[in-house]
Amino acid sequence: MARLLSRNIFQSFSDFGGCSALVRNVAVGREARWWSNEASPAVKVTAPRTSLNQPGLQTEEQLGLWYTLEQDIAKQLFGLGGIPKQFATQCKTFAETCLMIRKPALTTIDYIKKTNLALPPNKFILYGREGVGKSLSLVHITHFLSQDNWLLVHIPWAPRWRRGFKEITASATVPGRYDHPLDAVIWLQHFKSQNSQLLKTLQLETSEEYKWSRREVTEAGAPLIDIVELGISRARFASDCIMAVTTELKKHATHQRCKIAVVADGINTFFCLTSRYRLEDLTYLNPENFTIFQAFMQLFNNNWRNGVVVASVDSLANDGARRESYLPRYLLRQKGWETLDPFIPILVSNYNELEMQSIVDYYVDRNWLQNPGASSDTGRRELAGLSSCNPYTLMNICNSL
Amino acid sequence: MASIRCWNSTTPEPSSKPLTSVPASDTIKHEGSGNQLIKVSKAMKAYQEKAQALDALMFEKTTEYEIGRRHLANMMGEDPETFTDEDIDTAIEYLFPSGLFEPRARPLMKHPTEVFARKKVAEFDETGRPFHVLFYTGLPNYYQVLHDLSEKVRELDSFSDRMMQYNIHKDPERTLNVGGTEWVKKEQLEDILLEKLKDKQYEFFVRSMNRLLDHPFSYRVEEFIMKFRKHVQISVIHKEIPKLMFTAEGTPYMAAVGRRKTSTASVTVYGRGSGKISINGEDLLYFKYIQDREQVLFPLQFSGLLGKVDVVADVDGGGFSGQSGAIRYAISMAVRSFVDEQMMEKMRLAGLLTRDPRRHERKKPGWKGARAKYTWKKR
Repeated sequence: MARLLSRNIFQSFSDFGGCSALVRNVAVGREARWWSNEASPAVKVTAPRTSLNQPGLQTEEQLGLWYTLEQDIAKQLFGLGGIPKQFATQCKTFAETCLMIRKPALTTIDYIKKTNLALPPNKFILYGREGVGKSLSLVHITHFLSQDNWLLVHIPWAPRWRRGFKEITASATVPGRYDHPLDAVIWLQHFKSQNSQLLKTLQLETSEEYKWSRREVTEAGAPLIDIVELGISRARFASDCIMAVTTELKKHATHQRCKIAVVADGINTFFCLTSRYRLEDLTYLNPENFTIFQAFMQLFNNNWRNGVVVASVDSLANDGARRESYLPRYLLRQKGWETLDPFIPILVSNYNELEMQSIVDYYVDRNWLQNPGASSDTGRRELAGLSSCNPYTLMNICNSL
Repeated sequence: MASIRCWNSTTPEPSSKPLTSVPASDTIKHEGSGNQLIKVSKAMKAYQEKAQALDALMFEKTTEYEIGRRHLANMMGEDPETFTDEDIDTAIEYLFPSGLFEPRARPLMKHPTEVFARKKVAEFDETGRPFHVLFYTGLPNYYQVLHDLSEKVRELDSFSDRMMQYNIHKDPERTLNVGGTEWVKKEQLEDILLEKLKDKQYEFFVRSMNRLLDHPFSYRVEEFIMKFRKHVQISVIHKEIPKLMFTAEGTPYMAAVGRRKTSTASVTVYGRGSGKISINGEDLLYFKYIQDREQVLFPLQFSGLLGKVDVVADVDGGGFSGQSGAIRYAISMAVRSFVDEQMMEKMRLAGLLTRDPRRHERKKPGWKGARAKYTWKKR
């Protein structure tokens, strides 16, 4: 009797054919013999996945599905920052780095594809409440940019340089400026790991001579990678190397030798008024005096071509006193608004019904939600209610105690 | 009492003074019914006088009560013949309006039997011979009841034996229905029996009565059993549950106000919704702690309306814990209009419909907190 029942169920499922993958996938496989007693007639919940792992090929049909970011690509692109720490731990637990395909990322990718590179760079600013998925959308977009042969200038989490810096020293070259020796080295390593292949193929060269000290000089016409490697080996000069690299890249892009994508998470931190570094007169330093801040801020204005800026404004990137709203004008302050205007704001919001379904299916598939009631109707409603469909809150609820 | 002789006394009239004799001055010669001179002790006489006085008092008060009833009927313009006790109560309430809170402090006019505590009538005659067979147990009425009980059990057993002989089984329709009743409490049993009982005696009584009740043919002794059972008051609030209101578009909704500590929440629950919750214009994430969010969702989850109704709440005052409790109570009260009686009863049992009366208690000087004292040092 049970066998007949299972046969009927499997037949009816095969009749569905090519509908959305989000219909509960049955574990019908050539692997599980459906006539055996082990294949129970109950439907097993599996994560709705897609095999389209290239973000450039993903369309609106894949909304809500999960695509896999291969381990080596993830390490190459985000080994030194980019993927939020909690999410990275979760990926380690699940033994895979999978991202949900959501509307904001797809929209931005679509706009980037359609960008006219002859005009000043388009600026896409992702904004939204806390925990809504801005950083992970940026990860998705960065993956696309890397696949599409863009040279990446990727700032994983900008506030780390303003309030969580490892070390600050006074700049030797420009009086009144301050360097980040160790943080700059880390960033140069990150830049190198992301762009090493592309730099080799593009063969970009320096346009002028850089004198670092009496004996260390980078001649004009030397490969750009030399400056990067010098900065990695000599922490003293690392911040100045970043300045040199960004200036050179801007020139190269304007002369159409490469296309540059600036990706910054927490861009509003560039326009905050104080950092955590205390000067001798006990005032806190304004972060515009940081060399690396100056280096990247020159990429935020409109006087170059062949580029695109994708950033997120996050209330957590500001100081505690300025976090009441999540809207760009409030978070960027007047200075940031004037620098970045005009930009294209892209709202990232909480999960909708489809995405809610997808995330719960994914957690159940990964054996993260093991209670049998989790995938039931009431269970899903409780999860949606408790987390209010906020991705970060849902992750925290589903985490182990 | 040495000179009292009962019917089976074999001792001759004592010539010598017995050891426990009563002095001659304490005995009173009393004229009996058969013109015989019966010696009665002072104690006995006092007892008899008390009993007679009580009877006289009751008679007097009852006549006064009846006269008063007729007066009241005339005052109220009613027919004196058909003026009931309830009519007397309403008349007194009308004529003597009282602003006192305690009902027992207000003016009342009740029948003397309700006002004066019942006492046992004389338990023994002039000769000192007790009327009740079980007088010397100390609790004659109590043991009489137990005796009756055991007799009835034996009766029912023999009846069921006879029924089994004729192969007639217990008729399920004639089972004694004691739904909505429970055994009288110890105090009430003492009032019925006019005897003070110990806890163990009361427990034994209840166990024995249960034994009788469990007998399949207990319906035959229904009258006896029901003497000791009283009806239980259902504690469900018989307040009117407000009916659902409808918006212009036809969506059913219900509004309610809830309070907890110093917070007040006014909540509207809209039917035919999708589970959206708005608190002071914000999401459910207005509450940063998961406990508060659970408190808000609990009435909806419990009644199965999670994801089926929308909630719009305005809350003010207090902190997050008080605010979440106020919203929870308000949602529960509003949800009453959406659910059936059974679910409402379950909600009441779950404590959702109880207004939490706890308030902050002030700290006292010399104490560590509201109740906690500082460490007491013996020396």
